[in-house]
Amino acid sequence: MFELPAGTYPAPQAGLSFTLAQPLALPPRSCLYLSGDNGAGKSTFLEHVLIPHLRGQHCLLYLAQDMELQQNTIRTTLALLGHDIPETLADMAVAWVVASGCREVIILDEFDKYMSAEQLETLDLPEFSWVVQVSHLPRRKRCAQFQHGFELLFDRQAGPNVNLRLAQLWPR
Amino acid sequence: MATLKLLGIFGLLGAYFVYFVFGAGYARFDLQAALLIAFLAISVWRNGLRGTMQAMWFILPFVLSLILFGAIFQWAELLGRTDWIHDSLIKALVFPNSFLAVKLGLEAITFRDIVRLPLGQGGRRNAIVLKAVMEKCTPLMHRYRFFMDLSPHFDGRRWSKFQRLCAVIVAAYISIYDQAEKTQALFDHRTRFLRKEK
Repeated sequence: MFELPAGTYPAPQAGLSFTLAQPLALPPRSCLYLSGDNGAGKSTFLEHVLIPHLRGQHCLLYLAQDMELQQNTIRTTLALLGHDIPETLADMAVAWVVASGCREVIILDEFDKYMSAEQLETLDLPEFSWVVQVSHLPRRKRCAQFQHGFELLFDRQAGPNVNLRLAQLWPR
Repeated sequence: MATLKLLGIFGLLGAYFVYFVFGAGYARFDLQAALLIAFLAISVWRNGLRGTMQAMWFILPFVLSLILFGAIFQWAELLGRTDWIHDSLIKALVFPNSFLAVKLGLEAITFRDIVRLPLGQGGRRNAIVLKAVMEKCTPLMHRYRFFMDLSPHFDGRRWSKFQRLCAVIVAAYISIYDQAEKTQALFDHRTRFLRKEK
């Protein structure tokens, strides 16, 4: 199970505090969309709340928004493992995902801006038990093969407080 | 004035290394500990608690490995010596002290200081690019460590922590190289099209 208990999660480094009213409990074969305005704290929530909570329980892969930086660690990881390093960023990310052998959780923070729809298909997202996405593209297109779809809506109040509301998108 | 300031900084750094690293102050445990407290206080004052913690977090693996190797050598009584752990503990103070001394010294040099230095055009360009690259790349190290700590590729492998550290260092080199090229191009472009304000 992919779980995060209800509660308040402060992220003092970013000056935000997230309040999750109901627990996040996603069965395998689930896709979770994080949505909200720019600056609502989606990436902060991923890096300071969700990832630290999940990493002890699941094997997870994280493709961050600042891929210009992350590509350097992807490149060196592939080199250290003795793999060829593809030229394009998208192919490099695919090679990195394949080389990991990890098929539990994949977190994509606006990663689709680096990839075409065809390249995204080569990531083989349906192989993963859970997919977490921050994206500005239409939703169902990319997660249609998953049995469960959820949305976590970020509602930033005045000041540092961000309320998180969970909604089940499918099956209803 | 800028020349004097830089001479002062490099003079102090030189004096620090002559006395505390290669001289009589090296083995003075009390002095090294006091120095570390002083450097930490200055670092907190200049960079804040978070910046100081990040710097310490960065050098922690090196410090811990020094102590670990000292303990192993002590246990094995390597070369018949029984002072390995004492020596390691001193090094565990001297290393962060030297790191902080150089870091604080270089951070105290501003771009304005470099511009005012009596350097040739090429020398000034290199000094500016070097400082810009240093400032841009230092925060990246923490980001790279975050990415590599998360990467499951080395899980269950021998020396996984060491391999992750290697990846961070190589990624940092790529970044430094990349940033140096970009900053140099930016500097050249700006100086080529520089207009004096009327």
